Amino acid sequence: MTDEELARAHLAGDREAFRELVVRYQSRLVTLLFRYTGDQGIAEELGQDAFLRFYRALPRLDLSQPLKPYLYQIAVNAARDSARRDKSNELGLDEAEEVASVSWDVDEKLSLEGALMKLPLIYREAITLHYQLEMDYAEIARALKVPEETVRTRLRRALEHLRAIMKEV
Amino acid sequence: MEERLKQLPLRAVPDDYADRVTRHIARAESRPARMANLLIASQIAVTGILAFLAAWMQSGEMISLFDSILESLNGATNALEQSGSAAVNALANLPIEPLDSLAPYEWLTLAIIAGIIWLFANGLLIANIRKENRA
Repeated sequence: MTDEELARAHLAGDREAFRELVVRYQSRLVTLLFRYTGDQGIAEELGQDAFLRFYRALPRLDLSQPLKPYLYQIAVNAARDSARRDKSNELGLDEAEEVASVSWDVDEKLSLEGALMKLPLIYREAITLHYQLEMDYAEIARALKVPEETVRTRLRRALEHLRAIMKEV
Repeated sequence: MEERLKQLPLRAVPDDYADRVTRHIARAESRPARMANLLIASQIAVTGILAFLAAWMQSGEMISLFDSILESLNGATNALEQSGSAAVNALANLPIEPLDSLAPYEWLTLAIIAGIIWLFANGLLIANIRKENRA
């Protein structure tokens, strides 16, 4: 079944349909949220909130459109809201050159994922959305509420930064 | 580099994560529902009390009760009036007599109007809770 078919089944009263959507997207959502928090536990909690927002929004969504971008957009918003609420959170959302401040295990610093976590947040989220969650530029632009050209620029710079970090290691 | 990024594994989640999510949703959804149920229950209770009072007033007993209350009030204000205080005079002149002259059907009308206002206010409150719940 497609996501949209599952959503229709859920709205028609099928109790298992929404759970199936959760199972389908849980890892991707937690991966995305982990990029913001650097903490698996917090990412899982934010994921629960994102799924709750999605659940509440479903009756109002246009099911003739793909649901996936909308779900990711909700997750991005949930992560950003959480960062705003938590004043002590050091993840800057607007400073492109801000260095990521999430804690990271020493061993993982040697991996690509470790290098990814050293990127500024705006590059990390763009890379995750594009390469891991397979969203196209237009979908990322909608989710992040920025022009498509900005998405291209961020992805290009993100790759440059990433290559530089990997060379340092 | 791009190929390696595409092949990065996704984060693993606990086996019961989907159950945790559905429980989290169920808890969040039941909170406003419980509040709405409480409001509906109190609404039914108050409406019942209003209906009971209206029926009682129809029997004329309420009029007698109000009569005795008004008599007590009049007695009290008369006693205070004798003290000669201007404030007491103002209190003594409060227009409480019209209550005494209300016919039973007028009491019933007042009770029904109060009931309708109560139902309307609670309806708005419940609708608002459900709206917040959907937001």
